[in-house]
Amino acid sequence: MNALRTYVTERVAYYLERDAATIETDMSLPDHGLDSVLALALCGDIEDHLGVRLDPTAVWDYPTIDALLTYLSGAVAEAKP
Amino acid sequence: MTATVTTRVDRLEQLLGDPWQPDAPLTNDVILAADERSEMSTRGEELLDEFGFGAEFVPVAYGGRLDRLDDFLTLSRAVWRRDPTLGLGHGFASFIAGVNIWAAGTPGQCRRAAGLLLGNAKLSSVYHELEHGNDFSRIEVSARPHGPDHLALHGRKAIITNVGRASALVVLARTSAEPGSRSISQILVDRAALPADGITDLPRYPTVGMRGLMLAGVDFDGYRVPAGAVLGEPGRGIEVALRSFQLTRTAMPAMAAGVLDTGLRATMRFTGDRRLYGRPVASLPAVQAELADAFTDLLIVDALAMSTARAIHALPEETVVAASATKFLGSRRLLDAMNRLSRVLGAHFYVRDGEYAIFQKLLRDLAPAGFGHAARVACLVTMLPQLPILARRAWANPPVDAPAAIYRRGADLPPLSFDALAVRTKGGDSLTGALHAAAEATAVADPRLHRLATAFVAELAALTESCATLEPRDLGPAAQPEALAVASRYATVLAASACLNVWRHERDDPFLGDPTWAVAALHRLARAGRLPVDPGLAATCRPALYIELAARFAGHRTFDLADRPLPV
Repeated sequence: MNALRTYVTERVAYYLERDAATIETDMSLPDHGLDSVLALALCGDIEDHLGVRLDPTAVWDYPTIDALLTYLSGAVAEAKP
Repeated sequence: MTATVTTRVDRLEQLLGDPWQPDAPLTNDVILAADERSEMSTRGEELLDEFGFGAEFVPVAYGGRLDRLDDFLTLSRAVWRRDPTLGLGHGFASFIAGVNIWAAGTPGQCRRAAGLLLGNAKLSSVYHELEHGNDFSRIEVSARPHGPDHLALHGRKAIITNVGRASALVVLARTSAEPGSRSISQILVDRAALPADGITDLPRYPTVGMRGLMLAGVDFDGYRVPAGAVLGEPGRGIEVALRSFQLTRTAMPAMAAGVLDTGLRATMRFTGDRRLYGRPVASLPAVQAELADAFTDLLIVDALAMSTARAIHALPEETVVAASATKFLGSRRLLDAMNRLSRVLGAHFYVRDGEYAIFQKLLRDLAPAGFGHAARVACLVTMLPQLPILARRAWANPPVDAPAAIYRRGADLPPLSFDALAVRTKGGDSLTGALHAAAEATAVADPRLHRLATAFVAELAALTESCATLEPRDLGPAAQPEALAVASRYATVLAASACLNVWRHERDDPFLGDPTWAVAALHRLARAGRLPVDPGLAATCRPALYIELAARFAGHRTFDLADRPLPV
């Protein structure tokens, strides 16, 4: 889980072109300045990283990293029989 | 074309007549006179009402005739061939609003909108705010709860077709102050049935082209609508738009291809009528080359737009990128072709009366195909963040072929499903996957076509590498021109695949099944994309294309893939 948190935070930081240490995991991604199209690109990256398919708008529905991680742990558990 | 639409389009053509004949129901002179007065053509609107064109915007399930997108586009193109202002103002504006309703509305909302359209009333799609352009995520017009049963609208929308005369509006509004993509919704405003308190129409905009279009703004100041007027779940506005735009972005160049058809016809008339240097202008090789090239461009745009339209039926999970690519490439190619034809006409494209005056109007009316509905660069920005995903999941892997029905006129298609359309790419790309299968088919058919097809296969491989180097900033509106070029190059590959596959799946057609037009089309695309191809190829194809063009002109047939008879 910590590895996934690190991955997602670093990926968000990558898209925002900021240091990962400055990303607050309980602040909404739009408040961080991540716009809707980049949020969709982030979704695609996470899918390829985890090897699962997510809801198309997961990043819109779970707009903080914390909320997204909770959703992702569910999605990963579901994908593993 | 399917059999059902052939009957309808023939009836529409007969009803409107040959616009070049002085006794036709809708002549070029009548269309031009309305344009000079900056009015919609009353005659044109009456004839379309008589045809019941509103029913073409309504799905069969709600009592209309909208069944297949490609058939709808064939019918609409017949209107755009004569008068794009009529095409947009009588119709397409209602279609844009309509697809939002069919995609997200309740059965009750859909029935209400269908009833209006079947009665020839207009709908208006009220998205645009001057301050935000195509950046819909930042719109400011708000719809906030007002008492238990109502929403109150506040703010200003600008440059909206038919907002003043539409019976119902689809208003994109902010239903939450939170930033992000769950704060925006479409509101179906039944304007005809609501009190007019709190809504003010703003003056019309004078415009360069589409002069008759009722383009205006609207001010909302506490305008009350029932709380149930939201289309679908509140906060789903962006994804409803991302789905509906796939139909409307694809449609724009498909319909506007009718403008190039008439532009070519006007230029053919001119070059046949006029003598220079002691011979008809039509006999000059440079003139024939321009005409052959413009004809090829029309075939390219039609192949791309109709294949994307059919893919919306057959591959709805794969069209979110292709639709924006179609709008981007199709509109540019039509505009460029018309501009080149204007040089053949010389002063005659510039004067506003006489035999060829329709050309200057068409040229002005076509301009919004580039920036209207979605600016071309906004299309690239939609595509960019999705291209690396396509590169990783599709282009770098063994190609998946697309169904033949996407490329074959009139073949059976699955029904349209708005729910099946994807909000973002899932990584499938059969539309460029089909490029590989078509390239193999060229190997035994024609060495010229094979070399061109191989060049595009290599270009797709090069794009796969380019996508891997895109920086995050290049995936959004702040993208460098080099990054935008990646999206543009993708659109060119998609168009090449469309043309090659039309050739591949129409082998029984004497013209489309012959490699010549496909060689010309791919060569033009390759040159535009700066691929390393033999520059001399164009000259080998042009004579055959000019002969086909001249035969269709003399035989009163359309210049598009349909090669349909026109009224005489």
